[in-house]
Amino acid sequence: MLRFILRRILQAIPTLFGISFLSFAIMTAAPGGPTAAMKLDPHLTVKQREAAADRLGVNDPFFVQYIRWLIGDDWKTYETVDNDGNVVREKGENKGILRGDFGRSFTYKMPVVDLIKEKLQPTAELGLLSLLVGFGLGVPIGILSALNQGGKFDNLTRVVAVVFNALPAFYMGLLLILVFGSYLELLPMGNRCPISVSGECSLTDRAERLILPVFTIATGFIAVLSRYARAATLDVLNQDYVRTARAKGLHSRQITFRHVGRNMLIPIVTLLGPSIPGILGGAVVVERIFSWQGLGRLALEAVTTQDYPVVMAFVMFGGVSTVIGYLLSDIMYALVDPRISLDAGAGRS
Amino acid sequence: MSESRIVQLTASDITMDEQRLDASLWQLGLRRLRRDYLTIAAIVVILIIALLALLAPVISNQILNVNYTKTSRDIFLPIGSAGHILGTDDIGRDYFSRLLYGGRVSMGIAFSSAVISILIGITLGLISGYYQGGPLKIVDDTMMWFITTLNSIPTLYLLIILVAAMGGNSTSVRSSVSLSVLSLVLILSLLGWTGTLRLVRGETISQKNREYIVAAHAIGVSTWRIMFSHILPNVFSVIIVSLAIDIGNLILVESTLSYLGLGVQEPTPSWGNMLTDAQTFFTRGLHLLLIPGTLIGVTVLCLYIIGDGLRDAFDPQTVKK
Repeated sequence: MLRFILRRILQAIPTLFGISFLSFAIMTAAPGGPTAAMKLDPHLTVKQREAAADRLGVNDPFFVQYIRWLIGDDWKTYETVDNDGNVVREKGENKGILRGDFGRSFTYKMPVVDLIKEKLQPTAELGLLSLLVGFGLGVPIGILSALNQGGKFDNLTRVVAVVFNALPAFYMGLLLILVFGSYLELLPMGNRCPISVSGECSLTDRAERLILPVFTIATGFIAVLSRYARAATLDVLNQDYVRTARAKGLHSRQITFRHVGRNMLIPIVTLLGPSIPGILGGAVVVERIFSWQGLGRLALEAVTTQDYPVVMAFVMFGGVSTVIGYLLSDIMYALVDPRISLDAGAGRS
Repeated sequence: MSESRIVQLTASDITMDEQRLDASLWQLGLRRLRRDYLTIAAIVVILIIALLALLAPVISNQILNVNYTKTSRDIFLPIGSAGHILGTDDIGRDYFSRLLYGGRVSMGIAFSSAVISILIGITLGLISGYYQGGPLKIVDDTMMWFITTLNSIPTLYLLIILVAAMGGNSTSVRSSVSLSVLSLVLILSLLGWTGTLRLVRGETISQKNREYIVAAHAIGVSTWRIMFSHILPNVFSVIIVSLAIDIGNLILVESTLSYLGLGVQEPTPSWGNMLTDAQTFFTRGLHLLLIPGTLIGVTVLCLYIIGDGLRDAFDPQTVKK
């Protein structure tokens, strides 16, 4: 088992390398590049701007820049000439992304890593709850519709799932706000934590504010998962051991829970990995609609203000989370299904 | 194996009285499609929407005499106002003509990106599948590594980083994103081909060891010809079937991007960016929120239904329920 996990981690390295290369290449190819934003700063003289460009190394060849982004430049000394003509030696400050340094945000003037840490919690709250609701409702719905294959419930859930899939998530969110927030006035329309005198918000208030955003992300999951769960259940229902259990005269409830329920969960486990990019992408949309101060909002902001270090950190964050998600999926799959041969190299890293 | 297939095929043929064994795959598919009323209804709806969108300039300029970008002081006019069939939007533009043009933009972007990405997917998929496991398998390995990488980044993140890179407007003081419709098509098609590649690669791998390919090799047919004129026609039905669903997905992606302000830019309308300020419509004009969203939903739903219907009709591997 340990060897299997170790090999999976090793297999993930080329992917991670590819992600970093891709995001760096796209950002470097951007017209203007990171120094363009500085042109607009009136406090910088031409000389200072050139020195800053030199410092950022934008005039170096692409691969030198990329490697510096990876491993940093704190082992290098820069020589600059100040206004009086003296030579000033400065050590590089960048540690590189391999040591967890993504540089400083242009807009917030603080390390990108701290910025992401600060915004991670609201998004994690949203994402984990959506995942929970999505699996918690989607899987039982799928099982029920498989047990009533061709029945009313099955047809109804199929139609609803297709319709939910055909609506964009942001529109789903808008409709939820319209119905529950604006029309019925049951739930707050947005904001994770309103400004109050004490600066704290109560747990019930926070929970209330979570309902609509969580359901906006979760509806997509429920729609997809219920379909997968239905197919998986039908698959298990046709297995010989279920027929044997029936022939033995076991109670149908016992068959459903002990034989079918446990085995149909095996393929469902593999859906955990692909859910992670879904959540991260969904967060961008949902946080915008519900004015949620999380990672997704920061990402959008960084794109529109061209805060390159933040954008690049985001792509890396999304990529690493996805790779970890797939890794966990694979490991869990191997754990729950003893038939999986640990030596088969097939599958994704 | 092959015998049981024949038995299976004839068995299903008997149930369909008018089918003859001499009919081609496409003829059989069309016959099956003709009985699928849901799919036909979806095709009709899509054709109507597409026709309205295509005729947008004619309808708004010649018949209704309105300009879709002209603002006026008559904001939030209700449905059925004089001169504006569906009223006006928040800055007084004729809403009906904006919906027509929006459909033109949304469907146009989705359709062209789907076609381009499918072409990329077919070409790379054939190459990748053909070289898989052979002496040149490095080609396939590289390709698979690349799409694993691409699929490991959340699509929306990739889209926004590409939008930032291609639409970055560094000359204006107020930094913003400006992106032409053409570059949006380019971005969407550059990201959309991985699904087609996997599909075509899989099919190519299953085809390349069949007798007809071995025979083609034996008489010295060139590699490219084997790929494109021998394997391609046999994997084509699988691809065409996925086209409708791809277009539907792309409409969703485009509308999301445009809603976020990263896709189609004002004053060009798209169904997505017409919803950007939707929260202000709650009290002043609910139809401004409901109509574009419903149009997106109906269009995508019809495309999904068509995709499913085509797969049931043309994919010989799926047994009709």
